[in-house]
Amino acid sequence: MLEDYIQGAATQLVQRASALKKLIPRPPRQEFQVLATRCCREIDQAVKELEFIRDNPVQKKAELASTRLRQFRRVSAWIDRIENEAIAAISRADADESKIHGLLFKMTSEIVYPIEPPTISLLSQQYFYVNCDFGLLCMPLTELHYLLHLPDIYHELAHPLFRNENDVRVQSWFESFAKSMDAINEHLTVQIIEAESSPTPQYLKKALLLALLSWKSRWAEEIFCDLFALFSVGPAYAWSHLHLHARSGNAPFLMPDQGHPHPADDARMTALLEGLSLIDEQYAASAIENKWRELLGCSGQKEPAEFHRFYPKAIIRLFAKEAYIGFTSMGCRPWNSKDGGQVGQILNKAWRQFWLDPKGYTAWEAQSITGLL
Amino acid sequence: MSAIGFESTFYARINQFSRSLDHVIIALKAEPSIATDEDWLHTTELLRTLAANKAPTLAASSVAASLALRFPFNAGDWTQIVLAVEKRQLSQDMLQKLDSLAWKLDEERTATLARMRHSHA
Repeated sequence: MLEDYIQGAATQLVQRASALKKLIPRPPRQEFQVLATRCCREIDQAVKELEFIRDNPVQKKAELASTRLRQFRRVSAWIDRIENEAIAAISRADADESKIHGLLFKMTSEIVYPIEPPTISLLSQQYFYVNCDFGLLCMPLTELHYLLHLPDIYHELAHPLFRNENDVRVQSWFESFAKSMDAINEHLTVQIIEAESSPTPQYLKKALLLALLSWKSRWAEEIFCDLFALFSVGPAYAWSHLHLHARSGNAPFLMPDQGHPHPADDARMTALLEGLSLIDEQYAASAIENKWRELLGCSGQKEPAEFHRFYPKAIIRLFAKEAYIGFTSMGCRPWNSKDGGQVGQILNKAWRQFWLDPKGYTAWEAQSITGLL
Repeated sequence: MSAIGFESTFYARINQFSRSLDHVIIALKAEPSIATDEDWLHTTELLRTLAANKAPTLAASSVAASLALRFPFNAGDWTQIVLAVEKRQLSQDMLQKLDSLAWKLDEERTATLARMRHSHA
């Protein structure tokens, strides 16, 4: 069965992958040329791999049927992703994308971003995200006309750093990250050992293990990306986090057994408040913390009794300190309220204006955004 | 911020380990030339991390932790397999375990893709 299936399905996929190249505009918009080149290279590689899976005599051995099927699935999924994520962005690009590329260039220049910036697209249907496989940062269609969430771009800029583990330009970032990981690993491992040797409820033992695995697999990176954004653009990013939480309604005190890929919003805010004190923004930190507590109060949220076990404040403080060392050691310029860059200044001014005159803010924003794009 | 930033990085890590492990399995079962030195390196890196709960790279650490979240296993089981893979001499039972790990990686890859498609802020 598998031989016949692969012969038919792989042949069709080869044809489909090759046809994708024809969907790239000739020539692609200048801002998308790097992505277009990358897509063509990936398509060529995928076709080569499909032909190997389909035609190589070794692949046809009965004992290799399961590896052959897995290989086929991987390439098939990759071709889908090239089409749906990358080619879709290239083929729908318009003049607004040129504006947002201009803004991204200013942002990355101001903070001395250490690696090549991603391509940016207004394709997103899922808020801001960066697709590290294609070096493609996506944001919602109309978001470039509003200022309050733009600080989230800096968070997305941090994710590709984690894709460059062996790049000398981000070595100090990884060293700081490794120290933070060691700290949370040690802290939770000690707690797990203590729990095993004492009359601890089973659910708590399980939650501690889940917390350790979650920190190691996902949470630590998310916190570091938050801190990268905070050191890039200052209080505006912490305000943006509050704004997103207020709008999205995520549970602020997510526990490990709830299986969410992101750490709890309250723990993220703790990291941001710690980070603000490192860039001399204690006053802003205090204002943000007050509003954050008020917001949690409005939604009736209270910290669960065991929450601190999974998000230890002392370790989160260390994360902030280490991320700051990593950020500055790789040559990035941290936010400074006195001589921050143009983009950083406007994004922070927007939040000050928002709280100063909530009703009049929209009119102010409409005027201010034109100076930025 | 959607989870896609993390998940797409994670997807690439899973993809790389998964691809290398499949090449190593082909090499052990049928044709040694299919696996490159890099494939062997990636595979032993992942197996060592599963066996010792210590990782030389962030990529191996995060993939092993994620696998452990979804498929609890005994780290001790992998110690013998690491040694056998280093010698490139595996018993049938060990080969079956490698094949089972390869399917778990594939499930995790598929799950990661689903998280990317249904990601939320």
